[in-house]
Amino acid sequence: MMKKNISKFLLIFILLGLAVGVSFNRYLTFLATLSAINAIAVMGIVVISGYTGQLNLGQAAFVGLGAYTVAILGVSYGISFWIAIPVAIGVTAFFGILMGIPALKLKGGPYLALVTQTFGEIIYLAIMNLENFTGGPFGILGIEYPSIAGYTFSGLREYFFLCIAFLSVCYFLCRRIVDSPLGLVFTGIRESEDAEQSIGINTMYYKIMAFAIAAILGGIAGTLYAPFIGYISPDQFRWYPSLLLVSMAIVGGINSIGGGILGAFVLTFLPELLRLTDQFRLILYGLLVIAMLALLPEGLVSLYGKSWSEIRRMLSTRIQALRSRKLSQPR
Amino acid sequence: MLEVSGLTMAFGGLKALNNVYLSIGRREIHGLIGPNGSGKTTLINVVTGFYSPTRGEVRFKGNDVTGAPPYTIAKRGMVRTFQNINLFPEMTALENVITGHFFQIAPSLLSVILRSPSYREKEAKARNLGNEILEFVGLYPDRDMKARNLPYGKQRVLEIARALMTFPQFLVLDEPVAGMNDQESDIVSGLIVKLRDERDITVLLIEHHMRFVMNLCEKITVLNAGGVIARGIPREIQNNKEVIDVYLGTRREKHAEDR
Repeated sequence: MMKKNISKFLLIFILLGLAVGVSFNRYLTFLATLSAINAIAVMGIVVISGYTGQLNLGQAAFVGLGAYTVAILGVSYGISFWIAIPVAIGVTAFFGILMGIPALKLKGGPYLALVTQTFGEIIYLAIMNLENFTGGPFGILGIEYPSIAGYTFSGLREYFFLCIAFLSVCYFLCRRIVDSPLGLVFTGIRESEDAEQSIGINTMYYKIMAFAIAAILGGIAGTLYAPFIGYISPDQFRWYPSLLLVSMAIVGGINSIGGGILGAFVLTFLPELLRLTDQFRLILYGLLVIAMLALLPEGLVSLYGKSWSEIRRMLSTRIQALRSRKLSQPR
Repeated sequence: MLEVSGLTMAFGGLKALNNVYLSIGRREIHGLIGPNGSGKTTLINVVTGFYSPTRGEVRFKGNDVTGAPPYTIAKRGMVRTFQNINLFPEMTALENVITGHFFQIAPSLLSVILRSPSYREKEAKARNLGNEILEFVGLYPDRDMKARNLPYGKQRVLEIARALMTFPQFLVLDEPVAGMNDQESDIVSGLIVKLRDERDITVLLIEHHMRFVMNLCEKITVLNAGGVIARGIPREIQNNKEVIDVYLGTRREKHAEDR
């Protein structure tokens, strides 16, 4: 019995450790908050790239759009965080739909990856060059913590709880979507667009809907990120963080909302705990992603609830498959 | 029900279909036969909107649907299956058929997020219908199996079940019994007759299995090299000299070689 649930215990143990860390250590609290923010953006990748099968290498651009919306509205116009959130949702949904349009003709694949990455670069260049609006390369400074009814989420721990609350709500709503027939339609786009068309489903409409959902989740992450860091600049939202977000999804499990969250926490904490410098971080991410795709294509989350012997069996069949080159593609 | 006139489909210099006329009445079970490469699947692809024809017209229930997107044609009640089974392999059998009912319920994003009462009702209805249809085609015991783990014959039947979940008036089946043994194909044959008798569904089907086509279809159209060379009731087709020459003759020779 004990053995069967070993990874469940491990998860509870990690969560407990995290809770203790957050209550005593400011640095761990900082990392946990950042993880929660990343996790919201990664959930978007799970929806668009995991469920719907459209590889999106531009997610950080939507985080940026959300962050800049909050920052510009807050710093330049003094508009409250709580009003900026729906505005950011509208802005990111609009740009998400815009990015979805070229995707309609591409049916996934490497060209779509190029389009999404290029789209991210376009947003980056736009932010860089609209200096009057965005401060250009100098970014925006002095973004304030949000407050509600006279209470300000000013402390690190207070802000952590705010982010966890946002993460929980986003998780809850995402689960509702992916567990509904809409989730089946998204999965169907990944599995066979022709089959969906043949049963009367307008795949274009739902593909764009999935892009919009992913963009909105990125935007929400951005609205939380801006006040947390207090200073934003264009290079924080370029292709590198986009790739990082995709790596998080792959490591945690790109086909599961919970997996995405797990991946965000693991990849935010791991390099910090190992005290790695920037170059070594990249190597670590790269190695982890390759190892995951080779050994655990469903991500770390696929270990959940399994006993050691089951895990060993899983890995050995996978290694055998690799040896015989019968590679199954991650879905 | 379906009127195809002057249909031509050219891929570069190759005319896969050349001036094809086809007319199918309500509650008809219509067979489409012809040697490999004669344009049968191309015809189905044009009729169901997967290809836009070079020339010609497709009318379904009196409406011009030439070159309309496939999903709009499916919504009008003409639903197809594929020669190479086209299921959602990672979904369970039940999830496959529920997706088949999706366009009928099409819940909005907001209603899904809020789990509105009307959405919950629709979702429960889709699930019940899914279970019913699986019961109807005999796949209920396999409802929680992933589609890709089902045996071949069951996958074909599941694809028909998914098509039925759209409540079609017109089913287009591309080789529904390919790879099945006689016993399995008799079951499909019985299913098609039942669909016509109980649900008034019109059927157009491509099949190479001659016994199946001759026993099941009321009318048959024979294609060769992109053109119609014969049409009529099975007896007429069996006795048509041209058909015997280009199609049945070669098939017999081929079968003789195989055995």
